[in-house]
Amino acid sequence: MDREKVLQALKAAQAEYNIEDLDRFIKQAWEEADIIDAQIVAELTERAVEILLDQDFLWAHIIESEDCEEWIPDGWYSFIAVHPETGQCLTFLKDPVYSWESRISFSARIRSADDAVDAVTGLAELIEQNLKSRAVE
Amino acid sequence: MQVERLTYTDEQIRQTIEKVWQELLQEADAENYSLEEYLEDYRKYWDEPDFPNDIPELIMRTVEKIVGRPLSWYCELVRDPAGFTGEYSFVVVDPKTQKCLTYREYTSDGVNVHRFIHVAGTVVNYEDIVRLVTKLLNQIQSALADT
Repeated sequence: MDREKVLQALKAAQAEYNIEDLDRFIKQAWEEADIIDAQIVAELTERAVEILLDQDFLWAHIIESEDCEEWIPDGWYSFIAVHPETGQCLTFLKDPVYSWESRISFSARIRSADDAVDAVTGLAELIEQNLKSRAVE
Repeated sequence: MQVERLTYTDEQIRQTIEKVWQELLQEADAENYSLEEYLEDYRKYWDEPDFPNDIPELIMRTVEKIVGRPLSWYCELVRDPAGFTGEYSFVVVDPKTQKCLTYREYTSDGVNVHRFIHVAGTVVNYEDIVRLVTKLLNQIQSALADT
C-alpha cells in the first residue's frame, strides 16, 4: 500500500472531522483516555480506509480498554468491516487449519498519527485481499 | 449451494443452554454452581473487572450446538459512561463462506435502507438468554437461507 496515498486518505478524513493536528488529537485521546475522542479516532480510521479504497463499508469497532470497570481506552481498537451489498466479512482472516479459529476483526494500536497510518494500511490491505479472493471465487 | 435448515424448539434451546453451562463448569473446575446462582452473582457483580462473564460464551456455544458447527464470532459488551449496560452485541460470520450471518437490512418508508452487522440484546436473567439465543438463531437461519 502506497504510504503517500494512505497519508492523503488520512488527511481527507481528518478534514471531514475538522481536526487540525491529527497526531496531537490521537495522542490526547489515548493519554487522556477520552472515550468520545477514541470513538472519533476509530471512525476516522474507518473513513480513511473508505477514502483510500474508494468504497463504503459497514463497520463495527470496539474500543479496547485496560480497565473494564472504569472503561479506560488503552489505545487499542478492533475493527470489523462488512461489504454492504454481499454481506461478506472483509476483515476475516482465515485460520489455515481450524476455520472456526479464524478472526473476524482486525486489531490495531492507534496512539499516534504514525500508528493510524499503519492501522489504515493494514486494514485496507486485508479488505483488498478479501475482496480479491471473493472476486476470484 | 445446499441450504441448511435449522430446526429448534424452545425446549431444545433451554436444554442446550443447560448442557453448555455444565460444559463451562467442567472446564472451569467449578462444579455445583447452578446457572441460576451464577446469574444472581452476575446481576450483582457484572461490572467488576474480576467477575468472569460467561454469558457470551454460553450464548454462542448454545447457538453453535444447535446450528451443528462452529462459527466465527465477536461479542461486544456495550458500555456507556456509567459502565456496562448489560447489552451484548454479536457479530457472527460463517467461517465456510465468510458471510456475515448477523447482517440485516431494513427499509423504512420504502426508501431509507438501514443496515446492521450485529444482533444485540440485554441479558439480566435466564429468559433474556433464551430470547437472545432465539434471536440469533432466527437471524442465522434467515442469513443461511439467503446464501
